[in-house]
Amino acid sequence: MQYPMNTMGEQVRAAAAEAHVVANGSDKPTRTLWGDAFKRLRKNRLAMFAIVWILIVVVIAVTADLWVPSVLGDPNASDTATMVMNSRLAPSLQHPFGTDTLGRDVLSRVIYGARISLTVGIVATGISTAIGLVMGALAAYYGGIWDTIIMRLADIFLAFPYTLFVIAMIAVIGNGIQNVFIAIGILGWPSIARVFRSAILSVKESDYVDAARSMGASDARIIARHIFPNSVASIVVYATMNIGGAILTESALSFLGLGVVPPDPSWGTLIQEGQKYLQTEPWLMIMPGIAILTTVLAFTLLGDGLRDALDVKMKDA
Amino acid sequence: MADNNTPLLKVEHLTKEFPTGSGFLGGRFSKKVVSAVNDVSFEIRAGETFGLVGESGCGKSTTGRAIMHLDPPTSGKVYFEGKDISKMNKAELKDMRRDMQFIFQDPYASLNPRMTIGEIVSEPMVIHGIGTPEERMDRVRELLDVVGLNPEHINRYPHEFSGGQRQRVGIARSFILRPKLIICDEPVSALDVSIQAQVLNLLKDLQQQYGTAYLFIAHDLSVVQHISDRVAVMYLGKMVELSDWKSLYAEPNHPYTQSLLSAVPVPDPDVQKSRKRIILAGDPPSPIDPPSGCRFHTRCPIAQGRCAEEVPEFREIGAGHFCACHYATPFPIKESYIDL
Amino acid sequence: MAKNNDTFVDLKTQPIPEGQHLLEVDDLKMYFHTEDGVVHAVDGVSYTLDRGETLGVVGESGSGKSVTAMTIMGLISMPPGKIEGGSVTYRGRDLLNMSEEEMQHVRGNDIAMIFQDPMTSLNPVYKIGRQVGEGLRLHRGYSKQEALKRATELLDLVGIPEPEKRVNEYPHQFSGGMRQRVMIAMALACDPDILIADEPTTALDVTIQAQIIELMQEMQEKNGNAIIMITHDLGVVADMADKIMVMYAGHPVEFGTADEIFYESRHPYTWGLIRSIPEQATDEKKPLTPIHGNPPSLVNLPQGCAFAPRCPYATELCHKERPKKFVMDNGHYSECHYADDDAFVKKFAPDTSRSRGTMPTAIPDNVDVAASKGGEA
Repeated sequence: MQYPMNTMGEQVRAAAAEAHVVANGSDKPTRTLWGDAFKRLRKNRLAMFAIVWILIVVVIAVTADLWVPSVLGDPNASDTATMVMNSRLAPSLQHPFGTDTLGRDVLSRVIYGARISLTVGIVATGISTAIGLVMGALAAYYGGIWDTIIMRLADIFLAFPYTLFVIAMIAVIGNGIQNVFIAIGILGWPSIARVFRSAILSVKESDYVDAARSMGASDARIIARHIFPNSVASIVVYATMNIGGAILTESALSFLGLGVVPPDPSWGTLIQEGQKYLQTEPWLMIMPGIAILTTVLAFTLLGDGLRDALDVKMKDA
Repeated sequence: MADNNTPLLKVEHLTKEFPTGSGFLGGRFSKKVVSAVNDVSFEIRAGETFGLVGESGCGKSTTGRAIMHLDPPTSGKVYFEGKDISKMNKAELKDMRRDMQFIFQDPYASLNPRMTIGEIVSEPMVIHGIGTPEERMDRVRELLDVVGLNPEHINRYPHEFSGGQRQRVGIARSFILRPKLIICDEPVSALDVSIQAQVLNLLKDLQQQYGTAYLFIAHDLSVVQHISDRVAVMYLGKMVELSDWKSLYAEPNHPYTQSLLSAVPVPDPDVQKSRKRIILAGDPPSPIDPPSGCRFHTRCPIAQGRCAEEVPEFREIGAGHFCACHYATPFPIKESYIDL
Repeated sequence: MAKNNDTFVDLKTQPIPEGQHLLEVDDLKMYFHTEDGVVHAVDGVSYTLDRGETLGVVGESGSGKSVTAMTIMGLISMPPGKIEGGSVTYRGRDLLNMSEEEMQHVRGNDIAMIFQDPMTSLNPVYKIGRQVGEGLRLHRGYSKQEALKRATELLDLVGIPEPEKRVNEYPHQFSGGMRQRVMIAMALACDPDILIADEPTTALDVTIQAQIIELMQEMQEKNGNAIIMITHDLGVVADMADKIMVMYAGHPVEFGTADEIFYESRHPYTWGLIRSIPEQATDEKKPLTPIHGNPPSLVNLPQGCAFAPRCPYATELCHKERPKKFVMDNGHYSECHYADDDAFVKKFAPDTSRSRGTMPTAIPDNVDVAASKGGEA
């Protein structure tokens, strides 16, 4: 007989759990599930790097007005003096990311771009999540005709290529930052609704929900006290990853000239401006590219880390 | 109507069918059904323990859930204190649930992992709007003490407890409203033998203290026999035998009951080696397409031609002793009974 | 998987060295090093096993009964596990110091294991025939056809109807009892010396449990293999075990023949286990006397006897000092300070004398038990 190690992993885990019955009223401090999850997250190096990186980016972006213009120069300067003196300088101590054709400091523009990209990522994800939660909850909890309508609607949304759909919507409602929020936010709900629906469906089948029903609990109470707290973990994970996705979509839109309107810098517009000088001044495109790459990667890694940390199955092992 | 002669719970011709598969539109047009419970009737008197025993898939848990209206029955009636549950409106059903509670099999799955022990145990009081938060917590502490848990652990989470301790939490929750009936669905089968004995004793003590009736559902005949006043045996959705615990053991009439009894391992090597055992061949048939006539005839050691054709009547064969077998007779079966 | 059949020595064909047993476990210690501390999962287990023998290992969850078996099989991941001492000798070879490659030949070929949940041990994407025959192809170099033919025979042997048809089915098409039969067929495919069964019937119904136990005994009679039966239910091992080891907190507390454990036990923990089982009674129900409390944390073991906090007879001595083995002439031993005190044992041991009377068998006399084969659904 074979003992394939993947199934054996389960057995070993079970054996370790068996050997690890600790309970018995020992007086260790009470640990909550979220507390435990955080403890596990802290052990995940990649996720911790991601958190640190995201925090750095956020702090720099939030405090940008206080120091960036004076230290690095106005990101949106358009006077001829700057332009003549500083046009297309290579990276140096004074301009770590170099300067663009108009003599504006690229680092300063990348930092202001971060403000826009992060805001789009977070706000758009917030909109998607809000819609997705309501739709997913309706579909899963009431089932039947609700489920059919909402899920078929989601299927229709998902059947269109996402970026094309966003572009089409922007074309209808016009570009500009608010419209980018709305387009990305509204069109992002189907996948969140799906994830939430399946999470709810599995929680709904659990004994503790039956227990609450058998006690006579109302629907509202069952959703608020039992189903939501136990299915929200998957949404936290999914939303975190979705932020990265939204940033990417915004960059794509801006790159195509459909998102943020110049001279406001977003990472997408910076790349779009920089690509013309890829041969001669590659930093114009590479630097904002790295900013997108690292930030999106950080959100993805954080999401991965959260998923592992929140996995209730792992807690007994 | 609710005089002293009215049983606490009366189940009449309870039948529960589930559509099979998840085909187009959830199998709504498929004719095939799983006949999980078929025409089951019994009564539970106030303060007694009624045991329901059978193998997995025999419909014993479905019966419990149908009584509780977690999965409403397909047909048949359930009367609680003389009132028909299916005719109750929402408010009446909620009131009924104060008096009828449930204990689940899996002590890991039946407690919400995101709630503290205090929140879990007091939830029935919150739902029924009983007491102030302080009064509730006092009552929870009192009950945790009764079920043998440290009242100081009120703010802990379920994952900090062992299986047996979690089952005690579930028991505390079911008793907090002092219900008249508790449906115990395999409450000890997930526990080690030593912990199982603790929980069984606890259930007995609580019953004496509060006068609660139990519907005790389990697959382990020796456990059911130990705790029950009367025992019913189910096979493939049908009740095959029902009697008080003594005569069920002393005079099992149905061949299925006999085989169940003989299969229970006895912690005594001499007895175990010397006794004769009926080892049934094969698995129970599928409830989607149950055998004709007596549902047990495909595995029955004494089946005759008639068993495949006629559904045996659930008839009284002794005082309060019912059996659904054409050849049911107190053992040993006399030669003359067998219709060859 | 390694296919170097040339270098592969079939250990079960090797002679057992003079004066040794088939399997000798000596003072085995295996600890898990976790964030909460060192878990003393297996803490000094010793026993011997010969061909044809059945050893019952009884204990609650957390007693280390499964972990001991998995340590012998080399299935504990290290870390977090670590062998802290002791040895496991199979036919004169030290299993603990074997390479992973050598162990792969031992597992399944010489020592096979079946688990409580047959579903997680069977691969859902392969047909049953392939999984049953896999060990033969791996360890015996069978061809695909030969392995399938033998798999069919094995399924027939373990009582699966229509084996020719069922070898081509997938695990989900089998019921729980049938899957456990498949596991037994897989385990027996290479004719192992030792079959370790870890709670093989806990997930099954009683009537199916009876079938599986009967099957294991039948197979043992035919093949002469040894069985290690791990269970928390003393009743299960009552008629099948020759020897029983009762484990508590990673440590054997009593060891003896089945009769010694059931009728002449000298350890309060064993008494507690016996008293916890509801007795089938026809006149008066005897109240259960459970063991109070819960098993101790294996991280912080009590200073004295590990069972002392739950033992109704514990004295100051028990809480202070770890008891030594009290070994009787016939090899029966008990780790209790008072095991040598006949008056103590007589006073507190449950009435498990053989004179308890015979139990009714609940079987009508005219039913031919041997012929009671029902139809297959």
